[in-house]
Amino acid sequence: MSVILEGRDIRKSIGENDILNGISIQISTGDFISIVGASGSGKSSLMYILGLLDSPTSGEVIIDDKKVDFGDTKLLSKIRNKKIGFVFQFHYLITELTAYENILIPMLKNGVNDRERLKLRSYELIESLGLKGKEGRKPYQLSGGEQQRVAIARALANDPEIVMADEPTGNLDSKNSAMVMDVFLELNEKGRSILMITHEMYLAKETKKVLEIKDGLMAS
Amino acid sequence: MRSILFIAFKLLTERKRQALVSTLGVAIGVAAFIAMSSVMNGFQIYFIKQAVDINAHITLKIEETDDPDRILKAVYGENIVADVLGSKPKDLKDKIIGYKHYLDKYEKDDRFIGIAPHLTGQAIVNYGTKEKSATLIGIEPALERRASVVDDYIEFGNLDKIVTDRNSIIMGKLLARDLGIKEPGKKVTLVSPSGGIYTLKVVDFFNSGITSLDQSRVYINLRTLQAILDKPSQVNELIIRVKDVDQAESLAGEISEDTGYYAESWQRAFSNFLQIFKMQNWITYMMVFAILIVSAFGIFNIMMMTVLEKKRDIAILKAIGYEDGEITKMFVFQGLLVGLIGALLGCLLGYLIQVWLASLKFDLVGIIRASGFVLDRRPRYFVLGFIFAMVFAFFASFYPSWRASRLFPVDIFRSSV
Ligand SMILES: Nc1ncnc2c1ncn2[C@@H]1O[C@H](COP(=O)(O)OP(=O)(O)OP(=O)(O)O)[C@@H](O)[C@H]1O
Ligand SMILES: [Mg+2]
Repeated sequence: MSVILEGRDIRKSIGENDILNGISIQISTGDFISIVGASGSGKSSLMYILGLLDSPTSGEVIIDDKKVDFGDTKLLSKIRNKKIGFVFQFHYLITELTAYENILIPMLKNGVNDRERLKLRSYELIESLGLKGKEGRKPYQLSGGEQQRVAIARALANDPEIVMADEPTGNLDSKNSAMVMDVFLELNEKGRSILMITHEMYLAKETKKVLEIKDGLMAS
Repeated sequence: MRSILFIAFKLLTERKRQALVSTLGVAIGVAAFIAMSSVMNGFQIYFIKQAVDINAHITLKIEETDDPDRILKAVYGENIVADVLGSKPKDLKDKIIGYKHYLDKYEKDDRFIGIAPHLTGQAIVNYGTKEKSATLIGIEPALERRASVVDDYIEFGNLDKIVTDRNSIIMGKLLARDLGIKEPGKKVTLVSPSGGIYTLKVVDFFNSGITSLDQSRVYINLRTLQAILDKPSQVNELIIRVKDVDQAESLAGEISEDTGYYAESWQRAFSNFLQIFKMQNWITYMMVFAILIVSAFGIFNIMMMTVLEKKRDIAILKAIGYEDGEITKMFVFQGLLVGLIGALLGCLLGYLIQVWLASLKFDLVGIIRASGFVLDRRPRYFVLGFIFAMVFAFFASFYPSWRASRLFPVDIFRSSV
C-alpha cells in the first residue's frame, strides 16, 4: 500500500491559540480513516491543512512523495481539483444550479469540455448515489439526504484519490446518515481512500482506522 | 473559461429582479447620454454650419481698434500732437486699398474657394409708418455666391435681380416682418447716414434661421451702395471661403500678415458662442456622467450584495479548485453582462427618443429658428455611450469581484453550518 498523502509534525497556531501541536498522519490507498475527538480539539483544522485549504504554521504535507509548497496557490488549487474531494456538514451546493450542473462544476474546472464525457460521468455518479430522476432539480427541491448525496457526487466528479469529509452526517437523521455511510463504505471497497471526521462513535467503528485528537495532538 | 462564464451567467440570471434594476439603470444612463448629445450637438452643429456658411469663413475687414494715440491722449490730454509710429493713415481705416489685387491673388490660391468684396453701412429703412435700422451689405452676386452660401437662404432665388435692377434689395425675413412686408415687390425708403433718401424695391427675402442676421440684414448691389454712401469704388470688407474650415484660423493669420488688415476667422468671430457651447457641453456631460455614476453604483451595489450572499458558493468554488483570478472574472463578467445588456437597451431607447424628438414639430425662436429639434444622429454617440457603459460596469464590478476572490474559504466553512 502506497502512501498518497502524509502530514508530518503539523502545527497550527492562530494568534496566541495553539490549535494543532504536532500531528503526523499517513493516508494510503484504500484507507478509511475516521478522526474523532471533542469539539474544539482541532479535527477540522487538521483536515483543512491536509486538504490544502489552509497552511500549517509549521510541519509538512507530502503528496505523491512531493512536499507541498503552500505559497504556490495555483498548484494548491490544481491539487484540490484533481486529487481531493471535499464533503462538509453543510452541502454547499450552488442554489442557482441544478443538481446535475453542480456535479459538473469540478469537471469543468478540470478542463473536461467533451459533452459526452461530462454527461457520462455525471450520470454514472447520479445513478450510483441513487439520485436518478432528481438531477434536474435545484438544491432546495431536494431533501437533506439528497442534497448531501449530490455534494458527495460533486466531490467524486474528478475521480479524486482521497475524499475528505468533515462531519458529513452532522446534519442528517439516522436513516440518511446510514445511507451516506453506505456510500462511503462502497467507495472505499472500490479502493478509494477516505478521511472522515465524525462525532458518532458508531459510524467511526465501521471505518478501518480510528484516530483520536486531543488538544491538538494524536491520542493513542 | 467556459465554466466561469457559465457559472457567472447562472448566478446573474437567477437573480432577475436585481439584475433587471441595475440593467435599467445603465440603459437610462446610456439613453440619456445619446438623447442629450444628439440634441445639443445637433443644435450646435446646425448653428455653426449656418453661421459659418453665411458669415464667411474669413472676413477681411478694417480693424476696429481705437485711435492709436489713445494712450498718449489719455496721459497728456486731447490736444497733444503725436505721430505714433506704425499707425495707419486715416484713409486706410475705412476702406480696403487695392482690394482688386487681393481678389486676383486669392482667387488663384487653391486653398480658397472664393472671395468677394463687401461694402457695409448702416441705414434706416421706412415702410409705411414703420421704421427700422438695418445693416446694408453691398455685394457683387457673381462673386458673392462663390464666397458664401447666400443663395441657399434667398427665399425665391432672386439674388441676380439686384444686378438687373440696381434699385432693388433683398431684405432679412424678420426685418421685413417687423416692417410689415409680407411679399416681395414692395417699395421701401432708405435714409442714409448723411441724410440722403432713396426709394428701393424689395425683390426677395433672406432667411438664414439665425435671428440676429434675419433681423438686420439688407443685401444691395455694391455699386448702388457705393453711390448711396458716397464711397465710389470703395469696399471695406472681403469675405473668403476656404476649402478646409478647420484651417480658417491659420489662413486668417496669413492673410492678416499679407494685407495688413484684420482677417477674422469664423472661429474668432463666433468665439463667444463656441465658448458657450463648450460650457453647455460640459454641463451636459457632467449630468450624464452623474447618471452613469448612479447606474455604476447600481452595479456596484448588486455585485457587493451578490458577493456577500454568495460567500458559501465562493468558498466551495475555491475549495474545488477555482483560482482567485477566475473568481474575479466570474463576478466581473456579471457586471459586464449587466453593462452590455444595459448599454444595448440604452442604445435602443436612445434611438427611440431620437425618433420621437425628431417627430416633434414646434416653432423654436432663439438665437436660431427651427421648426423642431435639429438632431445630430451620428452613430458616434451610440458607440461612445456603449463604451462608457462598459467601462463604468467594469470599474463598478471590479472591486466587489476582487473582494470575492480574496475570500478565505476556511473562514466560511468554520462559520456556516
Ligand atoms: N480563526 C480562529 N481564531 C482563533 N481560534 C480559532 C479559529 N478558528 C478555530 N479556532 C480554534 O481552534 C480550535 C480547533 O477548532 P476546530 O474547528 O479544528 O475544532 P473541531 O475539532 O473541528 O471542533 P468541532 O468538533 O466543534 O467541529 C478551537 O478551539 C477553535 O476555537
Ligand atoms: Mg469541526
